[in-house]
Amino acid sequence: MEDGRIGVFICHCGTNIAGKISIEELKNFASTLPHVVTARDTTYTCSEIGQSSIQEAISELNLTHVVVAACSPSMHEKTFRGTIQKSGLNPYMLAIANIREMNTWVTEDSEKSLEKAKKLVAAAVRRVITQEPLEEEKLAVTPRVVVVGAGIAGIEASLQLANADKEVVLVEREPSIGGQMARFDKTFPTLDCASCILTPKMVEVGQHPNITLLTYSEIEDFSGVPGQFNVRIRRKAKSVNEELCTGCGICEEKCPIKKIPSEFYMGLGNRKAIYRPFPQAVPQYPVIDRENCTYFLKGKCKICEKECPTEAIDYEQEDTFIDVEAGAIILATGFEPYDPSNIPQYHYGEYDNIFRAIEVETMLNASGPTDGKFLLRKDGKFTDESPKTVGIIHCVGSRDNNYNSYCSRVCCMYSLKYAHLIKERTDATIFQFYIDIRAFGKGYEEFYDRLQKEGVVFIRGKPGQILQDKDKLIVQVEDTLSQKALHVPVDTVILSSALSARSDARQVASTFGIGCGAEDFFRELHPKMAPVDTQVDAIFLAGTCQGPKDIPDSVAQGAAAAAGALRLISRGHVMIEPMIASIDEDVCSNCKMCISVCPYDAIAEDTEKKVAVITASKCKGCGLCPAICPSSAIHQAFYSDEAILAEIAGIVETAQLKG
Amino acid sequence: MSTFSRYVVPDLEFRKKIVSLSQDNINYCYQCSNCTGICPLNMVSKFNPREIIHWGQLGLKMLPMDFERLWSCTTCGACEYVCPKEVKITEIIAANRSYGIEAGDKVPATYTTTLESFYSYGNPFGLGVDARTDWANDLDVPIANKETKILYFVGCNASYDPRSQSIARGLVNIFKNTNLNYGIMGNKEKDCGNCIYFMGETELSDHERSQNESVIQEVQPEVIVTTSPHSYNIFKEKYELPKDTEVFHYTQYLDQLIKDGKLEFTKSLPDTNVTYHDPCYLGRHNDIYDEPRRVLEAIPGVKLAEMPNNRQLSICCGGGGGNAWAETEVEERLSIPRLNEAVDVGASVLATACYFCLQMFDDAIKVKNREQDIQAKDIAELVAEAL
Repeated sequence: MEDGRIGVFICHCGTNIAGKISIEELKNFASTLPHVVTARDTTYTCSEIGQSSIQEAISELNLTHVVVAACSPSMHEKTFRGTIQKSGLNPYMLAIANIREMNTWVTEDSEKSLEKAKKLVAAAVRRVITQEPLEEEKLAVTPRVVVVGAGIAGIEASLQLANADKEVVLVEREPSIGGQMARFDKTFPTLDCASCILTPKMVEVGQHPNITLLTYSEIEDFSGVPGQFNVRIRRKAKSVNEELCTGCGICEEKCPIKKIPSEFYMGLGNRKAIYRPFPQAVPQYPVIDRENCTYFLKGKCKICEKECPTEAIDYEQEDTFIDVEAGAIILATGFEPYDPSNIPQYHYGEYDNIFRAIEVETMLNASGPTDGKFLLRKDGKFTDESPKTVGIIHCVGSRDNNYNSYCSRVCCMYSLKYAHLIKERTDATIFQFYIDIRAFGKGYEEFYDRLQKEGVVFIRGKPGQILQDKDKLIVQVEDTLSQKALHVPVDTVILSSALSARSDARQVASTFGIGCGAEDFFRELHPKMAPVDTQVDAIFLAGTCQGPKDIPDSVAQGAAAAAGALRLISRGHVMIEPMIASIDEDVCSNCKMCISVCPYDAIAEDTEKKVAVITASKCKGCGLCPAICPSSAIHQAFYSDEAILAEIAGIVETAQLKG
Repeated sequence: MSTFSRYVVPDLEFRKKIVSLSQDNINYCYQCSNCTGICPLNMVSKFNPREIIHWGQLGLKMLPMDFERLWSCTTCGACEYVCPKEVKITEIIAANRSYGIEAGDKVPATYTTTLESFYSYGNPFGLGVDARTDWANDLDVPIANKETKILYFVGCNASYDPRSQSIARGLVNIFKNTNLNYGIMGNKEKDCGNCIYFMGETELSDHERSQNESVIQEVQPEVIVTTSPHSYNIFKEKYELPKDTEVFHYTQYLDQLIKDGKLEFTKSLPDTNVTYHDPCYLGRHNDIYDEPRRVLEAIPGVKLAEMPNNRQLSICCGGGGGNAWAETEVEERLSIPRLNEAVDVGASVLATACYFCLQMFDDAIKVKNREQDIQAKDIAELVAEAL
């Protein structure tokens, strides 16, 4: 048996632990365990007093190992490693017995809870004695940040970093940056012109010497470790040579293919086969949509090539790949506007004059398909008639367990914004069908007040269905305040539809090794204390990819994510936890099973020595390779077989004691 | 006690009781009123599920007038289909009815008579237990035993109601035609308990159910086929059945027979314009929309047209929740706007797959003198005609 002098420190955690079990009994039990020199308790071990009591015990009693019985290691393992390190011990001579989350919080009976606490403490005591000193590795951070997604959050993050003189690679899937905000005409509650506040930032991104802007591009592959990531980016062929193109727009003007539904205008308007999504696009260069271009379909046409004054059209262009090394990643991939066509009672996509929110944004946009006018449709085509009555239905696809159970946070306010803009432009009577008005942000309640004064009619109830009666739509609803079942005839209905996670969010999350919540938005490390961090160090989140939010919050998160990335790059290095796997060359039979299971591409064959070799900087210590190795040639630091068996033994022995 | 006589004091005991009877469903509601917004009763009268839920949430007892109105709910489930909080509103309706019955509130007479018949005879008509199989006297229908593979659960209306008996006769003909090993429960069959449950007599419903369950345990059938979507619903929701016994509504079973090539049509129903009415307990309550349509489309000569309100948006016939036996004023009958919809799409046959729907539409056609334009038929009848 190993030598060692163990101190056990039991935390009351106020009443979280002490309110459930007898600390005195646990302490007495702990002091009977092998190698335990002292067992002590403190009200809050994580407090300064608690920590210094550990340090005093270490120096008084020459402790070699420390067990803290308290909360989850994910809370304070780092804290206590620091504590013992200050007293001269190796930080890895610590074991945590999680007697709060795994015990007192979830076990009702206090006797059973005490028994469980004893087992967990015994397990930690038995394991800690097997632990070996480990050294953290220092890894240099590549001074470059890749930002994925160039909506307002990604733009803000990129500019913050670039203006701090850091190098940024900004990757955007679409032909232009700007994201959803570029579709908006005005923003609530101030009714600022959206493009007036967005386009200067877009232009700044396009011209900034520290920003490499890659539009029409996607992440192809991602690997590496925090501080030293490798990102492979696919630059889709634009069929336009950007070095020669001046963005004059002649090609787009002359292109004979006119009727392709514009993605940017949600199919309400058309674009050409060679196009810029919208007039203020950045970069200003067009792309050829090969699926709809006559030349690519039939081998003929080439009008754009003929018309181009600078010979910038390049039909031969191919997708290219760029490998970028980056110290940190910021994901700002945004949201997807919810498509309510699966809600049969609202007949979206069936009746002419039912629009969803994002369509209304593009319609109100001055450079949109209706030049900013709110128009009615007949037989699928816009007329020049404006509505005299408009119904706006809130919470469509939000706060609804059949679709998305969360509140999308912005719909109340954008619904009020539509009411104002439509009233201003058409003088229509507007009905808001709402459940609750959530006006939580700065200036939002005042905006609600303003719209009430402007004469918008508020009906409290979620409509049961929309009926069609000749040219009118009938909104069927109970106004719960008057308790009247109403049929409200309107010319058009706007569905204030939800903000959904991107349909490929799970795939993107798995590429980057981060998590998704139940509704597919990316999961932050902590909802309050680490809202832009992720479970992977050096990968940060910004904007609506993390959850529905408005523009001020997206911008704030963009800046916060930039600060996180800046912190790493400015310090210049990260410390790598040493709990990784290593291979004993003398035992390895080169069967390669470890190579096949490694999810991080961290193991390769040394063809000369005929053994497998682990690249330490890539290994995350997941434990798959030591488990699968048939020759037991792989050792996992901190999680050795010996340590795990010792833990089990501690639990079994304690159970037998009781038994 | 409150000092002011006009103030109402919430009755927390009542609240507790109604929350528990509704299996906590009342607590999930956030009062958006999507339910009242879609409730079809508001086309013909007045019904406010949201208010009923809210009164329960607050611990406010219903006034006698409201309690009487409570019985007009057909438990069609449109409210549940749209409810954003997945509240089982029909459970709340049943809970309120249960509470009222127990508290001795005045239950409208027609419902009382029906419940008494269920209690004494195991059927809503007050007819003798022995008369349950009279419909089958000339058909040589086997009584299920341990060898029986398919147990056909006939249901009260198809057993006793002369109009609905032709559904059972049609199905038996189909079973014979395809040489199936089937049997019925005979005079041991009791009411399935579904309507009784939603009428608030949960104990009586349990009693009927357990009698049926013991026969089923004896027979141990591989498959149970029901005539009624209502029976299908309670078999799925509440019955304790042998582990390997599968339950089908007959439209599902016929769909499978047609798919497997076991059911062949020899006759055509030339140029028959059919529209299909989704019964609430088949469609919204159990998500069975496609099978009945496939069966109809397989019948030679049938042309299927959809009414504007189809599938999830189907408008109730008015017969559920005990209302098949109620005397509803003509202008308050849901069957009439539904019939108009069927006539408007040019159908000569309004097909359905539930004997309550059939009864309600037959009545509507008579009341509105539409016999020349349209007939109500059950899918089983149409299939049997084409064999």
